[in-house]
Amino acid sequence: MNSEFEKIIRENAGILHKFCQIYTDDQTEYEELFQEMMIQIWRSLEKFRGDAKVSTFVYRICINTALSFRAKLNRSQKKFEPLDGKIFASPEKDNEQGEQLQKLYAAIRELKPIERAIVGLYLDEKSYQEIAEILGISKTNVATRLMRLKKKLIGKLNNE
Amino acid sequence: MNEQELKEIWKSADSQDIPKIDFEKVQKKMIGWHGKLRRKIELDSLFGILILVIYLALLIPLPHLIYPLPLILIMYPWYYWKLWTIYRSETQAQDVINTRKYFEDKAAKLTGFIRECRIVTLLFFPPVALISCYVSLSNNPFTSKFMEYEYLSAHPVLIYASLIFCGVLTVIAMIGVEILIRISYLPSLDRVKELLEQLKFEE
Repeated sequence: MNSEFEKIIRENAGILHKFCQIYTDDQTEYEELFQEMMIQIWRSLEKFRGDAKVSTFVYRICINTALSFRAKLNRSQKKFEPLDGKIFASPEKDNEQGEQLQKLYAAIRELKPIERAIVGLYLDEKSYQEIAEILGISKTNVATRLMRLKKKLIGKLNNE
Repeated sequence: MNEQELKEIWKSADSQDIPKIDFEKVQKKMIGWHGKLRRKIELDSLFGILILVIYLALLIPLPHLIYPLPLILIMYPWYYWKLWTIYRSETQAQDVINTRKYFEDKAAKLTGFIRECRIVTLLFFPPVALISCYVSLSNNPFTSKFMEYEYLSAHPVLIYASLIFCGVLTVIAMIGVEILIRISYLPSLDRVKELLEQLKFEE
């Protein structure tokens, strides 16, 4: 396998992982989406000219793939076929922080697909400008939506 | 809980929650994915070639069927060109707007292809059926006189019968094409349209 690709995946696995978590409802979907994201990164790598940061490139691909994936799921109203072999080892999630993280993922999953991307990017410390560039929407739109989304998310988590 | 705490929880995923990736399996999946796309193109191409071979084989017992052959051969480059155009278009878009543009383009291509399939069937099949009908009858010693001008003039019912026969064949061909479109292409078009709906949001 292309070592550059492997390096990109290893260095940005966190991005893939978190966006897979907020766009999927179970392990099968998670693995399917993670795999699809890697395929899209693999396919897009030769077109990547380095005019953006690698992480920005990865974010864009992950979000577009996740949006398409959700649309596919909504459309077919059925789950993907289980994979013939697991490509991931399940992480431990039994500590308190892990529990909070799962609650956060669950709260984000209740948002609309595009809103999940906005929140994910914001929580990854991306500026409004960067979020706007990655998603191809205006900075004002990002700011307006984020204001509402942050309140909604914090309110939801505090009420639990 | 406040914004900063949210960010800290989110970041904690980087240290504790990331699964290990088996790259060998990933590689196999990718090879499988590329192979699937290639097989789909090959299957469609083989199906088209098979139909052509069957038609050419029919020329041995029915050599007069060669007359409508040019019309059929004209359709092949069009069909393969269209298939190639649809399959080769892959998105490299890296934001929502461009992804939407890509899918709009894909939807337009599929809509165009479906429309053209119907038009081509409607335009090409009647002359193909008519020529086949004419050459089949005129090359058969028992029916050749039916195709003579004087006989046809005396029995105009034969002209109507031929036209009706060609019309029926055209309707059958159109139903066949419509079934093919509904099985293969309309679901793809619906998927693209639904995807476009998903990608729409207020600016």
